[in-house]
Amino acid sequence: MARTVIPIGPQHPLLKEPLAFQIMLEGERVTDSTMRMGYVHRGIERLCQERTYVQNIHLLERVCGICSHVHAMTYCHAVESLLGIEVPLRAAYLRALLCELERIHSHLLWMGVLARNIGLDTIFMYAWRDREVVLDIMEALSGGRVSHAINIIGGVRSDVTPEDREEILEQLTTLDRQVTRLVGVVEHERSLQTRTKGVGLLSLEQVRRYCVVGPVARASGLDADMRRDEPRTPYDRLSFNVPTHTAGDVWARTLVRMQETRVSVELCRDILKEIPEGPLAVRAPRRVPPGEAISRSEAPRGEVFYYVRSDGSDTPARVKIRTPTLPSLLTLPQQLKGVTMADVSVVLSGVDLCIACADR
Amino acid sequence: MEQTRTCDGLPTPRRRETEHAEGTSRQQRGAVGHRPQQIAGDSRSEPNKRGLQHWVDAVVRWARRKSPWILHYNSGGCNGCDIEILATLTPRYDVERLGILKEGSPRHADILLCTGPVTLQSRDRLRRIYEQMPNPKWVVSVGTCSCSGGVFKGAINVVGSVDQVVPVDMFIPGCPCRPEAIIDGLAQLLRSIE
Amino acid sequence: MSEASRLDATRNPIVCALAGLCLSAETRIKSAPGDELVIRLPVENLRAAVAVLINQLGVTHLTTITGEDLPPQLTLKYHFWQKRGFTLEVELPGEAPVAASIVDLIPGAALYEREVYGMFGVAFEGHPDLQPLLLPDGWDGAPPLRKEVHSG
Repeated sequence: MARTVIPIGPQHPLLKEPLAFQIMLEGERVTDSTMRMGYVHRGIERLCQERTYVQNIHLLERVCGICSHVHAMTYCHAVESLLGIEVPLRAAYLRALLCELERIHSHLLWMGVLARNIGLDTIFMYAWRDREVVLDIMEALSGGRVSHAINIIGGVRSDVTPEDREEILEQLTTLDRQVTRLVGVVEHERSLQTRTKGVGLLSLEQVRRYCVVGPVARASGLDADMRRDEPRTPYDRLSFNVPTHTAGDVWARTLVRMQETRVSVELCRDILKEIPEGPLAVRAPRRVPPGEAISRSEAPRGEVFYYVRSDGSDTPARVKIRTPTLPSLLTLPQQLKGVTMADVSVVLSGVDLCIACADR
Repeated sequence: MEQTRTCDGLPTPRRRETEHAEGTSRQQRGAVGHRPQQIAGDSRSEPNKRGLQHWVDAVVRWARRKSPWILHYNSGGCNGCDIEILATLTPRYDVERLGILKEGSPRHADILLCTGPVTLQSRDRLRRIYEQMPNPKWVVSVGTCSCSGGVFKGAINVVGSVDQVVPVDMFIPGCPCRPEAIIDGLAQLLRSIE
Repeated sequence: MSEASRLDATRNPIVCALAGLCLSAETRIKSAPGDELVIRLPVENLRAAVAVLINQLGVTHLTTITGEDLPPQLTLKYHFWQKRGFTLEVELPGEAPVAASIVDLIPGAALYEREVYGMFGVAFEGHPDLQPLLLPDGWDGAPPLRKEVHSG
């Protein structure tokens, strides 16, 4: 049978970010694949050592445009641990609100991109139209659609007024209705099911061995979510369920992400209803004492990990970032083995790659 | 050396030949959004191009202005500007009503939208994409990082702004720039194509 | 290293399981749910310790491997997670650092070891595909996160 090598990327209609694959085919079936990362490597960990703690918030928000708030927030958590300060309750609730809004916008974005890569442009248009409601809410809260700059060391920078709160709750009702409709369409769309069922299989055993996190792991049956497993305020006061599935294919990941979107809409409502009054930030000491700190958060793609070490100077001695896409990238050769060429786009889209996160 | 010609018979504009060897600076091309006035082979200045050729040229120019196809390449950015570019295709902003279509191959594209600072690994690929695009072509730098390097200026693996690698016709700053700014920048570029 | 953190560490089941292999254990890294344990080991015992974690304690999740250049030593921190996070720390000599790869024990370590190789120049013996993960083609400079490299 003829052997072919097909390059995908770094510039390809499938990929929003540069990543180079070589797909080896025999006939129509993929036998092997290699991947070349590093096109988006900007040396952020090195840059962090040359900027002050406050300047790094601005920098780390630009690790990734989709999960920008989670990166800045997790970094602030680590620095606050080093300083030994605790943010006020209201600030913790506002951070969590933006976190959940980011999860909704990221999953809707992914749904649209998956549909577009399969050829279902209508779902792309609907998902991204519904996503605009989320971006409006984020803009009302923070002033920015995509980058928010709401985190400061010690709390948050801007508040939600009672009028804003009522308006956001109304918009969340609209969003809930639209998301429910979209989830209904996706769950019953036969062409989507046919393209995604049985494709990109990962077993629970493989997910554990590759240390995969996030919806990809949950779709294979691994019940892990940092919001529940290492809860911070307000997640320890809110009740929410963590959707999982057992099939481990792209269809299972679709269902998990759609159900997570609905859980996040409910969480946003609960956060806004229960948000306590209080200050927005505590005054943070200027100097960070020597020490090490770790913080973990649940980004839309899984567990994001920050390790920050201070040597007492005004710049961090080391900032280490582990983003959730990295272990998912490791599973791609396994997922691609044996699929047809037509399913390569489904597999690559199903993982929800964020190469900017992975390359840093 | 014989002057190269584009497919409609016009000689290739002079500035493309001098720029090909090295990247150009913004000073050489004037302010943001301006195209240099010299366009070689302008039929209005040549009396023997009247008649059928003149009308063919006018129709071709109209088609280029009315239906530019864009190619998007992220040369090392955080993805913020990329999702705002994709957002321009969606129902709220709907850039397709301006005739703009997002294409997959450089060989079908008129306008290259670049986002992100250029990393060392991405530099050669960006250059190749630019060379694969057929003339006439335009390059738009979307976002502060591609205009100037942004927050990543000076980083070890980052070359800098896009105009250090390929000549840029339009700079749209913003971090990330809003879809309205992208549409405004593209509309200004299309007006200047006249 | 406070006495309280040392005593607290010795009661930990992970420390008890690694008793013969580690040099010291203390809860040193600050974290909001509670300070995390750091177990220092000589680099020769790393593979044995990871095997104990997997086989006896059922640890499966390696979060990442952090490298740090603290001249004249180079430190590697292996961050694990099982209900709580904990870290194994090894020290390597700064000149020509070499460590054993744990990819056959935890396949998830593959990309993290490649990243440490590229950023710090640590050679992981036994890694199936050791090449820099993120550095551009033809990178001939020093590993970027080593202390002697400066940004422009």
